[in-house]
Amino acid sequence: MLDLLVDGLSNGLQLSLIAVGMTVVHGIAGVLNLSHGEAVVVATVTASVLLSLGAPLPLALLVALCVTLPVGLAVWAITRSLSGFDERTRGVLGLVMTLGLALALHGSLVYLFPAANYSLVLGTLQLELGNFVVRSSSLVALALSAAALAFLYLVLGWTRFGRSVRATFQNRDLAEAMGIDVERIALMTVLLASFFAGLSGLIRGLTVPVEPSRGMELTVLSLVVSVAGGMRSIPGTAVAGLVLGLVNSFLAFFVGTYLTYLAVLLSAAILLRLTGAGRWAG
Amino acid sequence: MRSLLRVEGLSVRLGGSVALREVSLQVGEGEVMAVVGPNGSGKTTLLKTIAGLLRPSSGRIVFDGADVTSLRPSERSRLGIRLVPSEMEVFPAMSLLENLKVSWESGARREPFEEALERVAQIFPWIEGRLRVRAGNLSGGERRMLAVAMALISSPRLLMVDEPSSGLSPKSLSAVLGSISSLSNSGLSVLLSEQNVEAALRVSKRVAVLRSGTKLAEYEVSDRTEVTELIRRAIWG
Repeated sequence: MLDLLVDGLSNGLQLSLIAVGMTVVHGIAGVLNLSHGEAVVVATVTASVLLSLGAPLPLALLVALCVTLPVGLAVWAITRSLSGFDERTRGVLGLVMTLGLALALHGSLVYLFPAANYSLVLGTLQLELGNFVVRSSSLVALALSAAALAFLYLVLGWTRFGRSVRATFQNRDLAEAMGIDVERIALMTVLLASFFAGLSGLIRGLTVPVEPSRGMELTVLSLVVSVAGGMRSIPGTAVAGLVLGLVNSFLAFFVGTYLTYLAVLLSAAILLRLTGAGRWAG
Repeated sequence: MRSLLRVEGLSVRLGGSVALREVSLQVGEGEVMAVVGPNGSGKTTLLKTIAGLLRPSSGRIVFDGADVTSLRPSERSRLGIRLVPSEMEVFPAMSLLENLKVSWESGARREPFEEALERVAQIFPWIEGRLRVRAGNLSGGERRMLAVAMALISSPRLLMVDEPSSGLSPKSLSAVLGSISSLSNSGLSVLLSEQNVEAALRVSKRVAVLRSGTKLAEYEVSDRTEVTELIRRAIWG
């Protein structure tokens, strides 16, 4: 049970990390970024390929994170090109354009990296805790995800940049009226979201092999988490990711993976009902 | 009186129709001026254009002798031009302290935050005891006063308040207008947009009348009853 709990927490925190990026970009730019999951896969594949070519670990991780930034820039260019449209049109066009970006990234990944899967498994050490056995990679992933989320919490909660992001997230017009440079905040936020998507890709690669074609699945999962968390709520998204990650891990073990996604969707609907969309805004 | 803001022949088009047509006005240093007119007359458009949120199709905006027409809202804010919008004027999920801090950070920051907070708390003493309260939990009048406090903490030189009477009880309106009046005594220039003529005239020295995006007239406020009648005639004929 302990190993399941650790796996569930690790999985949940990774989901939170990916989904928070999607929530923040939606809140700041009014666009649901359907290419978000591709950035996760890009980072895992890049680091895995570099490691297999003999690159030192720090260099491989650094390059993998840097590679997600052009993806973020492309998303920012899309959001910027839509800034003259009303909210509804921007939302629809944003979906279509980021879907186009996702398909382009998906096609490139599948074509350039034909291997079945990529991972960053750094060893198979297992820790015995009483009667339980826990994979060390799960513990490392759990610790890294928690640290990344804590860092994000500190940045958003306690820095000038974070306050400007939350202000723009809550009321872009007012933020602009009071002199916040909302265009600069939007650029930095989209890049930050891509960076965290890449980071979660690296952490994910520690625990499970990642197929180059799984980007859209990750996008859909983070969309479900974001919606379950209230769509416009950063803390709500983080909590929803944690809950759905735990549900996913326990059900996959007890019921089987064939019913897991259905159960996750049901849990998301219950969470949404409990929290109410937007109740935890900001 | 030295002019702080000069609007010259400002025209704005919104969605293909003309929202402002060659409007000109001036606000002096330490002066309170009001722009009055019925709904849809272009008052909010005028204030938003001065703040940089809308782009004029022609005309120019001169602030403290410099042409600021092409500057972005953030650049105008740092020069001291500050708008208090009529709706959604605070960040509801943030505490009062965070609202004030984010506003101070985006302004000119001419003094340390603690000093600025103390200065604003002298005008709105109730704020000091409720700094940890979420802004979304405030009443309508309190939110309006917090919005003015947020603008003031950034040390503006020109404060623009859009519809200060909007949604306020008579008591809250008196408190907001009282604070605006005392601010002008300390040298701050204020430009109000207001549908409620009576409220506008309680604090303004001069008033401009807008209808359908056109400036119809401008009056010195000496006798409030007389000016109210002049405004009524200018708008409704």
